[in-house]
Amino acid sequence: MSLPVYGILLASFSRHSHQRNFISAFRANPRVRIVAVADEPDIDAALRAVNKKWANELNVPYVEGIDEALNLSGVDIVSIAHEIERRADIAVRAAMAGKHLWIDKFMGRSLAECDRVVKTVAQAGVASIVPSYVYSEFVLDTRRILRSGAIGELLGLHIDVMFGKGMPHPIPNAPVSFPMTPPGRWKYAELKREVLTVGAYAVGLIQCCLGRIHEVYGQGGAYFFPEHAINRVDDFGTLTLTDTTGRTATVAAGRIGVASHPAGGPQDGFLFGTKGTLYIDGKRPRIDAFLRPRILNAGYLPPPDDPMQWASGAPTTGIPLTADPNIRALDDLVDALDRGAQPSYTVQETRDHMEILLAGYHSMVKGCPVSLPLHEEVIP
Amino acid sequence: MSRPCLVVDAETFRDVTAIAETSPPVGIVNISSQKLTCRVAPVFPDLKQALSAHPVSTVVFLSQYSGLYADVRMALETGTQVVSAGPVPCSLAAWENLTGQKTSGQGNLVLPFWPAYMAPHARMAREARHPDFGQPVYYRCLSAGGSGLLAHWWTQCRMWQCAVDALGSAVASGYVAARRIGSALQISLTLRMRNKAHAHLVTVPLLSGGRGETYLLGTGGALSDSGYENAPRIHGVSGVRLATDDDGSGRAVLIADVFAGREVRTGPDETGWSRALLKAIRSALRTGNLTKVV
Repeated sequence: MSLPVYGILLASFSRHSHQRNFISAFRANPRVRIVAVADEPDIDAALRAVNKKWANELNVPYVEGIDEALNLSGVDIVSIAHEIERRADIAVRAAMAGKHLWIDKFMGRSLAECDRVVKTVAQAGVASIVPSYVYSEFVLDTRRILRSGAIGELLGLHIDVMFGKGMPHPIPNAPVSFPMTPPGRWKYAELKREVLTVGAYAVGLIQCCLGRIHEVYGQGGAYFFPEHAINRVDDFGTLTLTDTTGRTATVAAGRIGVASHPAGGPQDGFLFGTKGTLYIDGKRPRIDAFLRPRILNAGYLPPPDDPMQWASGAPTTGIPLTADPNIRALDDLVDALDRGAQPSYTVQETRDHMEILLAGYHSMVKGCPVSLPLHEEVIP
Repeated sequence: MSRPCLVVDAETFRDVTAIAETSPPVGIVNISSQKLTCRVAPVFPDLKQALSAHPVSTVVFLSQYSGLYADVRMALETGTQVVSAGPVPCSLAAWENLTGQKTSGQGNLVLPFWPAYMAPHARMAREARHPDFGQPVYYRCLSAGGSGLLAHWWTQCRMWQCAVDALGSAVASGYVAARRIGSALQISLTLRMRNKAHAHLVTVPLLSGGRGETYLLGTGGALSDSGYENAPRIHGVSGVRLATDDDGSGRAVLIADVFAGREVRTGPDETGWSRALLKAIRSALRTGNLTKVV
């Protein structure tokens, strides 16, 4: 008997998303096929053009109207990579239509939106996966070594995740006092809130290592980019988290500018156990390549049409040897669908993940630790 | 001529042995339960015996222990100069007694300013003051804390001094978290500086490479120093081990200064925070919560 092939609908190629990064995994897996690209009718012309370009490249139809696309025959999974403000709504509609969900990083802009998705997914009985956090070798190696007992019982951890992207500039009138802009508004024309965007990877790893997070202390307000300073939103920040047993995780995360690291930004994990400390460099394994012409001709200036380098990166001296984590994530989803089960990182874990990050932001605004569960939200 | 007496445990004894070969101390006081043997100087089981055996110019406390306050006081009362590698765990009143020289003797208590003794740190801080570095943003140091809570506290105090020095700003606020399982202890201190830079200072039970793992981020780029990466390593049948005599803590430099009779390099008198830190660490261990230090 042949195994089923699951059809995927690609919902939007928003600039702020990773839909383009998922394509190679979707294409490489014989158990899935891309059925169509779809988006809402009220999007801007630039996004519509990108969506159509991808539909042409993938040789699938472009459907205007996600509800219409959900009715296409052969759609089993919806890959949701719209703006963060639209993801929860699309996820809820897709789940209610009986489609399984593949969601890029964040499924909503608030805890209330995340809760709505979790509830709908449970009621609809569909599978869900958020592939961004726990399928990298960085996380898998960490979990494997932790489980082996080699470092004894875990006491705590520290994680540095930073993107060596964008070109920082001096900030003549840097805002040296609070308030930082409260959480809730995530979308700006040419910037992202980086504790959310980059710190999210560290928080995903922490979820795999610690128990339920009990307290979060966040710090922001040191700026690399004038765009962030003007809007008083974070380009760099730190988090300190404790779980219910008193174990601690510290995180440094942000966008720190080009040429600040040989492999495009540190991705380091230190796990402290009773029998030893585990260090994992998430940018390894890699081949270190010192090729004279490439170094002498390296262009570090970000492209004018991608100043924060959301879709590009600075030159590095490392050639990664790690596999695409989306391939593993897709295997997990397909396996879950075959078994009628859920993948390892679902909308429930993502909801808790968002709660931790929101608590970090509230802490930055208040200047003191914030306890979980989170009881407040500020959504403009 | 300087006639120092060194108070050590098994770990800090290693810093002493090399220099003692060329400049023998008057005595070595062993506060650990481990037997320590020294070819060039007598080893005493307590400070009282060491002070009675020979005239001593300076007592250098390189390790902390429960009797530290009483011994510091005793040394000061005999008119001996005292150098303590870290703060003395005691109340504010008791501390003022020690530092205010309200004891009957003429001795003086000095705490070293560690950033001045740690060559890798000093080099990093110098680089951070170059215009290319831009504004300091973040300092992270992970270090082996040593045995017991007071050893971790001393290490945290040393890292606190380094963070202030590297980030070029005083501390505005700080929170500490701590977790102990058996004898293994881990402490995470989060600092926010007045210039809005942040720091994470983490002491852990075990970390190879002496001076630990330090990362200093500025708007112009990053500086990092790995005690492990910078150490010579031997790949042997039982795995990889580090082959280095200098743990980068600066203790060896401090001892050399004391032996040479040079004045101990001190920093701003900020002992209030060190006591607040110890109190907060103890509270964090009891409650499991993030605890405000300052």
